[in-house]
Amino acid sequence: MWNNKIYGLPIYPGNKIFAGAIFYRADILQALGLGTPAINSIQDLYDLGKEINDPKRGRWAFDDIMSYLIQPFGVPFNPPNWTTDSKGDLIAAWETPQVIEMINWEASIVRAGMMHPESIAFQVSSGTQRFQNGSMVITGGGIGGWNGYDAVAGKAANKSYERAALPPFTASGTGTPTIGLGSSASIFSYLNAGLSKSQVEECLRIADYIAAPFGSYEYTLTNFGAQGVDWSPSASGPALTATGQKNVQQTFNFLASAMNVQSVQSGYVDVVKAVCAWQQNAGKYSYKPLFWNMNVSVPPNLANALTATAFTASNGNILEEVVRGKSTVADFQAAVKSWQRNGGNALRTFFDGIRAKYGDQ
Amino acid sequence: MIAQGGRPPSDTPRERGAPRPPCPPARPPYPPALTRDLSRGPSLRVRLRRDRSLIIMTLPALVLLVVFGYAPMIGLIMAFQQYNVYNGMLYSPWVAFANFQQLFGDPGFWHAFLNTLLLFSVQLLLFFPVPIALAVLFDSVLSRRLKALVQSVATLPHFFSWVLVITLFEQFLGGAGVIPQFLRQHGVANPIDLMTDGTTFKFLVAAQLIWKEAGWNTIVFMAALTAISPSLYEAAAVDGAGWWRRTRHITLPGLKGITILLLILNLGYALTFGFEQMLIQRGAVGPGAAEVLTTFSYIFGIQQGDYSYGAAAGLFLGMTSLILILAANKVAHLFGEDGLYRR
Repeated sequence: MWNNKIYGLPIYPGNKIFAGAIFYRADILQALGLGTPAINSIQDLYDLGKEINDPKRGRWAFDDIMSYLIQPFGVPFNPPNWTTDSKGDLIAAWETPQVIEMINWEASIVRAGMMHPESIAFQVSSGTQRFQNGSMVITGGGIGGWNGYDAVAGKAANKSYERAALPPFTASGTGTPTIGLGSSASIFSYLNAGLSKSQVEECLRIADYIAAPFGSYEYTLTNFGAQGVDWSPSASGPALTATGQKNVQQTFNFLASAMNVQSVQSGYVDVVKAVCAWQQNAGKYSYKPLFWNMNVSVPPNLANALTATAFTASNGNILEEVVRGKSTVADFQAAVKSWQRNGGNALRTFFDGIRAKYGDQ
Repeated sequence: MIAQGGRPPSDTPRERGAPRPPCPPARPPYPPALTRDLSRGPSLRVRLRRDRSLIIMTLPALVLLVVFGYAPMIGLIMAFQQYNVYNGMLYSPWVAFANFQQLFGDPGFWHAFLNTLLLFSVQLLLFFPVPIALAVLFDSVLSRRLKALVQSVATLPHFFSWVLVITLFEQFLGGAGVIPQFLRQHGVANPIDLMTDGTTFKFLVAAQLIWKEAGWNTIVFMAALTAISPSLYEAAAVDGAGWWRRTRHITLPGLKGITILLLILNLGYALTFGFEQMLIQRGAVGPGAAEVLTTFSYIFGIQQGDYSYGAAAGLFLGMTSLILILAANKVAHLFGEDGLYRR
């Protein structure tokens, strides 16, 4: 506890964490003669979808990409989903006008038959498979899924498989794109408040050792054990020996850990380069959402309003229903009013209090 | 010799309308130890000793019922509280019937209630006769090997999870499935996607249920069929009754008791059926078509953390199911059937 805030040691921290991106099959676009798409507005994306959509051949343009449309439409979906209106007052993501534009746009791709029917039917678990086998060309996903293992699985389905991500853009095609930063860390370790000063110092020294940066002697020892016994050098970094596979457990990382690094898997150096280039570019447009990196615990009676499953549930929330034509925008607006009545407004007041006392960054 | 009807012969048969002879004197009283009313059966102690093996065999099931059936009912008091996980049942505030007031005033709840009844009725109408028909069909297969094979194949889908069954249906009927894709390649521009169509969902649900459970449900009917004496069929065949007449006058009446029992038990599940099946498909067809009481209770109770509201919905559901079962049982008894138990 310092300066009225509880501090913890971050686990797997990163200073530019992005929720995800809109991905496309670069190899399919190449094969169709479309090259690298220049998407500068949501209309461009719609037009691209029109060109690649071919259900007769079993190829649909889009997956359900709503979670990743928040970037072009500028919807603040990083929990706790707050932004400010023109007067500077707090409003939730689902209270913004852009969210209606976003669901209307996705509803238009459903109506135009451009979303894969299995995506419409919430067959979420087979989404990666659909993307890898090419029955769906544009999808959304976390940056963590863009790695060497994905390249291996994709090339097993199709030898020319290549995943690429769209750089940030704006829905309107005007102005500078923005992309909200995710929390720098989502797991923390804490020290017992009852420890003596010397104990705290000792713990911090240990944590400092464990969190030594990638490539250092301490990092390698903590993560791979002793050279010659537990690991031996290889082209793709330290390779665990039979002894190492028995001995090495990466548990120390959950006490403290070094900054996240992009490592090469299965020899796909180009994939790591592409990920880093995308992140570097996205970093130029990044902004810190309200309450960024603040771990705010709300009172139990406001927990439901914070979770707001009506808008955030993974299967069949009201936004998804509007997109699929099962509910109307009026139903969505009624759900927003209901949320406001049933804890939403109280949650706003609570966060107003946090803002007044601790700020919003 | 005993006369027909079991009446003892009389030396002087009574004339019609003649006065009834006086009753014979009462039998001499038994000693006190034997005066217990024998019509009430043996004493509890005697019955316990007599049935101890059966009772011991029943105990595990009884424990299971108490632990997983009755003990959780304590949680129903949440329905009368504004339950809070952090305070627990002991310290959460009491709100009397507020949760029920909210429930009965919620149009979403009534939609779920009516939709449950609709889906159940369609399911009952389309699904319930299928296992009976299948059982009769299996029974008419003479080759034992073929019968065993067909039965095994029909029973297998019962062991598949709902996720798998729905995925299989998706692969065939879904927008990118085998059938729509075939239609697309043969000139149909926009074939119907049955997996996301709300209007036909009730028939889809029944079809999935038939595919998954019809074979399994034949087992009970097959067992009932074996209880019918083959001599009845032989006698009927000798009298010239064909297959249809034998089915109509011997097989179907033989299945009547078990059919009514299962129908009553089914009514008990009327409001709770299909939770998993609906929850998986709710997103695809929308709550308008797939919301049932159990999904309503789960989503607005458990998922949104409003346990009291969920418990109130659950209690209503349980009570209504109980009333349905008792009413159906009563009707069965009125028609002279056994129902759930013999009167």
